Amino acid sequence: MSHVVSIKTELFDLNAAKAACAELGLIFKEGQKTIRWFGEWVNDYAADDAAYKLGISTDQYGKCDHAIEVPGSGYDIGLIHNPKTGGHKLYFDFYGSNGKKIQNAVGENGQKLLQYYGKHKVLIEAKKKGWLCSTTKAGNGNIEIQITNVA
Amino acid sequence: MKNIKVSINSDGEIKMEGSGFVGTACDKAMAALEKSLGTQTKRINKPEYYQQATGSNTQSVGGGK
Repeated sequence: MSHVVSIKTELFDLNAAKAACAELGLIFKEGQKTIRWFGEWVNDYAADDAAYKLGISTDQYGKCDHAIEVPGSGYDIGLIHNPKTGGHKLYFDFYGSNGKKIQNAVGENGQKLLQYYGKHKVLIEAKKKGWLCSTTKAGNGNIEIQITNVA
Repeated sequence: MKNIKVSINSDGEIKMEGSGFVGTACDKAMAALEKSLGTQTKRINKPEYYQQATGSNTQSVGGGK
């Protein structure tokens, strides 16, 4: 028998976030309170994925609870704690060549970072339970984790 | 043999599929994992899940014929 579930990933575990950054060649800066970005909100981006439409107010732009440096980019990724969920929201300025380098590293909206975060979160939780994991990268870009020895 | 296959797509969306479980044992095994990963947004139970929950066939752990 089998059943399938789908989960939208949020960043609740900084250790998993750090492991994901390490695998992607990014530098996790725990406790860093600011990020590098354009530096000023000029009301020029209002698409559905605009950070202010996703729970990060424009006066929070540039501020964060932790940051991620993308080597080669002059901008950073910010992590803002969400007191409602206990998780962290990701955001960054994608404009120009600095933003493009971030998108190349973590995906257009950070999806690739979420993917690797999910991988490491699963590995951490499985290890705690004594489950055995085997990880492979599928041809379609999915990360597959086969967990055995499930009690 | 109880296994869980986890698949994480390039959008960061996670799917889990259990095999070798009897009925709701699969829920129990994955519940903690799901909780630690984030908000569950979608769940699909295959027909076998409901069949197994009634214990109506031979796929029971250790008791299969």
